Amino acid sequence: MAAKKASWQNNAKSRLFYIALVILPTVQFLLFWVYVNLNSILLAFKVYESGATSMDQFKSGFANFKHWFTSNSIIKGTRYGIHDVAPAIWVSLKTYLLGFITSVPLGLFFSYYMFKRMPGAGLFRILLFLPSILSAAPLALIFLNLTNGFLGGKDGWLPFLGFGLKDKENYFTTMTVFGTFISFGTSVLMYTNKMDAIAPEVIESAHLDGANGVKEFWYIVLPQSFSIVKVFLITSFAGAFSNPGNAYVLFGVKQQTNITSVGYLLWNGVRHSGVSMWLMAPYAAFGLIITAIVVPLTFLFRWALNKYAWQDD
Amino acid sequence: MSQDSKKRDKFSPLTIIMLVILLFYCVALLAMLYWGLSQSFKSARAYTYDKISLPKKGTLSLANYVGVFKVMKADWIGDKSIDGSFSALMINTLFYAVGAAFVNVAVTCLVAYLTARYTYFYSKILYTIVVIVMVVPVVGAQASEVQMLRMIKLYDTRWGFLALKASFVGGVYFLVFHAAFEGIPDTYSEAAMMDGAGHWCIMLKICLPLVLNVFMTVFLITFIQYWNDYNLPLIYMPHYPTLSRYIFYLGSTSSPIKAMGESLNANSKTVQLAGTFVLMLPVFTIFIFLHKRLMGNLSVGGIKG
Repeated sequence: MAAKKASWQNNAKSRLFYIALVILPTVQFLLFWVYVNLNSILLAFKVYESGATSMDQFKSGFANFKHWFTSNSIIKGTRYGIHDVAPAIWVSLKTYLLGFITSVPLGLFFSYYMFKRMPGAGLFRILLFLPSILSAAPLALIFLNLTNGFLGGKDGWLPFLGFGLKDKENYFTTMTVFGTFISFGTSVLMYTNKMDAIAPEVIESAHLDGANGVKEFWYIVLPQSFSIVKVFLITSFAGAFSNPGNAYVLFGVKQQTNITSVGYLLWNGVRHSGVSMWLMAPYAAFGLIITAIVVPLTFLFRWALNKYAWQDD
Repeated sequence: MSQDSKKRDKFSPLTIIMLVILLFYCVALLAMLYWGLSQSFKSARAYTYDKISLPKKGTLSLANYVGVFKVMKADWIGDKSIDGSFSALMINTLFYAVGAAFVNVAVTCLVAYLTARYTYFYSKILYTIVVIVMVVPVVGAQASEVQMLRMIKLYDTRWGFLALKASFVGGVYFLVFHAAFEGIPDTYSEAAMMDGAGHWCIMLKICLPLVLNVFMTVFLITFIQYWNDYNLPLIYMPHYPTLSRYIFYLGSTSSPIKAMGESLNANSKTVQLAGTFVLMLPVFTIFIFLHKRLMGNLSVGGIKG
């Protein structure tokens, strides 16, 4: 952000223009983010009567929180409960960590290939981007049938790969492989554009100093483009706990704990609550519990990245 | 570095390994799409017995594609109060994909412009808000959002959904716009001011045209994302089904097969595949003609603060 205020900004007209344009987005933010999140906190403490038809029929209490810590919850009829909490957190963490060690390095290597303008770079760039413009549901259908029929599953050609629809224990692997497969679009695009901004003189002087491809990637390209990688690492960490992911498109309504992430649990829980506030309120409480766990973790992660990873800006 | 001026480098062990992986990836992707397209011409009966092999010569049929439009005429949602006809689906989809995408991108662009070009204290606050919302995972506010929309009588309405999407927080595209506006020299605005231009003129005639490519790129990406999305409309406007929701429905039940007059106890994956390619058609067309624009203009400076 520019640090110094330009002279043309120092007048009433500028301020009026600024206020006129910024007011509506600010109101939207106050209503749909600040209020919604505050209300979410309040909702977590509202225990609605079963079958309540009005939003005012509630008592204050901790029952919505207790719901996630006891198997004798007074809130009946919810889709999820105590037994789903730990697996959901584990699935979210596992999904993020696997993405961290597969999608991110692969995305970076692919981007490096494009950056070096190697043969087919343009075509690869288009094809890597293609899954991100297609609907995930049909891609999932095609992926499932192919992996199930050709590769994984007990009757597949390569059953040791461990993915396929026939075996429930393979669901998570299937979901991870699919997630990785469709994950490169925007990230490769951003990484490549960032790499393209590296001054050619820097690369040339590294070559003159005898740097090979690996050294060039590790000592120049990666540090110079790491700021954008950092953005993806941090936002995807947050996203791992809020995005429903691909469980629904791959497996529909099957309720397997090994594919139910936090985001999917919340999404599916709210979806099944329909208009029933007494069923919906426990998910507000669960969101609050997860936020309390994930926020410090995110800041710790961000701090670690800022302290130990490359800085280019 | 300009893409055209850059010379191609020699292969290194790293790039050779990448080439092999990329080739594998691309062959797998194209094989998947080819398989999906060919299965969409197979009958549900043939698919039920053999999900893998390609359709045999002479068995190719357009019945699934006809079925995609035929089922729409039936009460596929099972709720008479919901219009699931093609025209309704198209209107809802266009409203969601074009309307909500435009509102979302326009608001994001506008706030990024203000924060990048006007160095007031409030700009710093807005920028910080965006960064905080981006990195702090506030989880599970959906229940509250639904309640909020109900409270202001906008739940399950198109306008409510637009209001929800008119947000500048929560996406990396704010940073993209911010970086683009920051890259415009301040002297442009100063010179325009000296020539008598006002703030509206500077924004609309100088700065926005300079980032128009970025705007179009972000808009297209968001449009495609919304076009394919069935999650959010399902939760926030269940009475306004979109094409994507319909395509998802097709594969999750056997009723399309029955609606097509077949007495087969099977799911309708082939109809769903046909629907998929119908849904893909506009997106593919956009991609073929605009892939350079879609893929060429995005860069982010990183998160500050």
